[in-house]
Amino acid sequence: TRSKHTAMPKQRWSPLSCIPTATLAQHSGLLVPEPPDDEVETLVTPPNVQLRIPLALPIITEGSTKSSDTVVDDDKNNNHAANDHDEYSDMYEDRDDNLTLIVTTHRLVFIYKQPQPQPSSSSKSNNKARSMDLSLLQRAQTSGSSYFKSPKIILTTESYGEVLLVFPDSRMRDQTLTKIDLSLRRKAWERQQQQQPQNKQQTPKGSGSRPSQTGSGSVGVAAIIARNKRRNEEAKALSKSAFGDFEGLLQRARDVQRVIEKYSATLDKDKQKNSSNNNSDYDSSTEDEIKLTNMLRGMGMATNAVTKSSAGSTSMYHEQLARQLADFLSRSGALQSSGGIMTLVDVYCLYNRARGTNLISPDDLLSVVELLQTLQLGMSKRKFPSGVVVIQADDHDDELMAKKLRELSLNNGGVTALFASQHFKINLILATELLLAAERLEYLCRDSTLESLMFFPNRFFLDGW
Amino acid sequence: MGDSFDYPEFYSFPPFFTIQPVAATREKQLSLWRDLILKYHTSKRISILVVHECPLWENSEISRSLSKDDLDIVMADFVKSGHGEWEDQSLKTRCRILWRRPEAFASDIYQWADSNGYINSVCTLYELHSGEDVNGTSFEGADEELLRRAIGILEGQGKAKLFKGETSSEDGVKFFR
Repeated sequence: TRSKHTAMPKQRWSPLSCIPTATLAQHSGLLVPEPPDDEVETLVTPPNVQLRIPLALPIITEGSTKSSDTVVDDDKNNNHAANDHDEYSDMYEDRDDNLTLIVTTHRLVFIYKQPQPQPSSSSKSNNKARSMDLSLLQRAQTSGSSYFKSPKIILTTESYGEVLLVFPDSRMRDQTLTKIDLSLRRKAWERQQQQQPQNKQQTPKGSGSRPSQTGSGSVGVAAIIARNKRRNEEAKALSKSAFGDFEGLLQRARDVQRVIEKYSATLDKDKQKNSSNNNSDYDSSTEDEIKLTNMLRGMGMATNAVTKSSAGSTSMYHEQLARQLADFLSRSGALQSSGGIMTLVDVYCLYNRARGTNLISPDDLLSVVELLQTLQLGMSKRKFPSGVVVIQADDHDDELMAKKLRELSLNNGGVTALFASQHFKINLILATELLLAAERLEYLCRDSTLESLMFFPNRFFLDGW
Repeated sequence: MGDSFDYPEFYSFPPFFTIQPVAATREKQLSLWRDLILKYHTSKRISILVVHECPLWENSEISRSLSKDDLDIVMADFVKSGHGEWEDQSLKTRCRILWRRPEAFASDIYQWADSNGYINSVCTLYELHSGEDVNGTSFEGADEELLRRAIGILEGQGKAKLFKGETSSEDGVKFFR
């Protein structure tokens, strides 16, 4: 735009360049918690948050040699005043759009997509992350949002001055501010700073266990007791307010559901009217339906009040869940130890057992498995001809399995599904499906009697008969 | 098995007695059944397969037998391939074995007639299926009905003519160039 080119290559600096990088896990794209590892995510927004840092002096963390003494104007207009000959200030844009913001107990994390020659819409390998430690924040507050301005949160920091988070709607902004406040009050990072000098194992959050007595840097037993007391009181106050909130939330949810049902009934009526006229209003009402269903799903209320069209859309909630599930299945080795395939029933039981609380519903699982392939999480849904649905690792090879089964039947005078399931330590239904798959690939043939169904190596093709 | 027929290896393979669901495998399997039926009836010189009397459907040594449904599939395939012909279409109990199609017989017979100097001369039906000269031919031991069929084809081509004899086996055939 206004840049005058010299030898320096054109590079774009923005608020994201000013803050340190954060690590995302390689396969799942999930945020890797920073040591000492008791960081917890408390909120994930949709990818529509804007980060704005209107700096006086841009502080770039990736090797820039130039500095600028330009004074930057008000954030409303991007006009950089004074020194026009400084290309550096020309290349700083004071805002980043379309970020996903994750609020944790320790940080604010911004997820963005790295622009690539061939953009693939939901490839996790394009995702990058930057973060800002909450310990750097002095204050967080809303800006008075009028009708024309977008709702914002203003963060006061020492390092960057005023940092703005801009949201498309005030509901999201309010939710986010609540979570940030919560984390700021908790000050989880201070607890670590006190424990680290003592140089022992971290006490798990909320366990209420007493740390042991010795330590080089601590003040003494009195300090430990005081800290414990403070922690307990915090926890008490927190749970009181949380449960108080919960009751209110539940009541609101019931009210909302009633409204939804009424609304979707009207929608259905309208749709019937519009489908005969082929009205363009039809599309916007379906969009509303989709938004509503997603909102309810995000609250954990699966609703059948809305139609099939909304089932085709994905929500942030399900995407997040898909990543968590894939992460769990690969990390725990569950998928690998059953040969790279698991039935949905097994996945459901295993995953919910691991979760302990906050279980996922069967409907959630059904929606989530549809997403696995598009999100490229290393596994995908597979439906066998018989209707059995499994999750299958991308590196599973049907031919390889078929060869193994043929080997097994060769050495044992034929195999039954039961025998195969015992030998490979897999689910009986799965063993049956794999035998049938091997038969379709012509590695095996069947011997069906009143007593059993057995599979033999397919000598019809092998033996020159 | 008490009889002297030399059963092929696949007859002792248990899956042979289950008609395979996978198409490619089934194709191969049915062709083996066709072969088996033909070879068996040829060696036993049985020209009519009586379905419920045929010992092929069960192999007691491996305790396997074809189910009724699978047997129907085998017979239907056998007839469809042109190797068999139902004597009674509706009941499907007796099936005539056509181990060579009549057209094939016709050309075999004519070739034999030509190379053995029977052109413009006569031989009886009996000689055609049981004479010394026909040793080693495809129609040796053939069912008379089949021979008549074949000769009928040659008649249609103008290459032969059937003459009535005193008995049906003394019916004669004259070959023409």
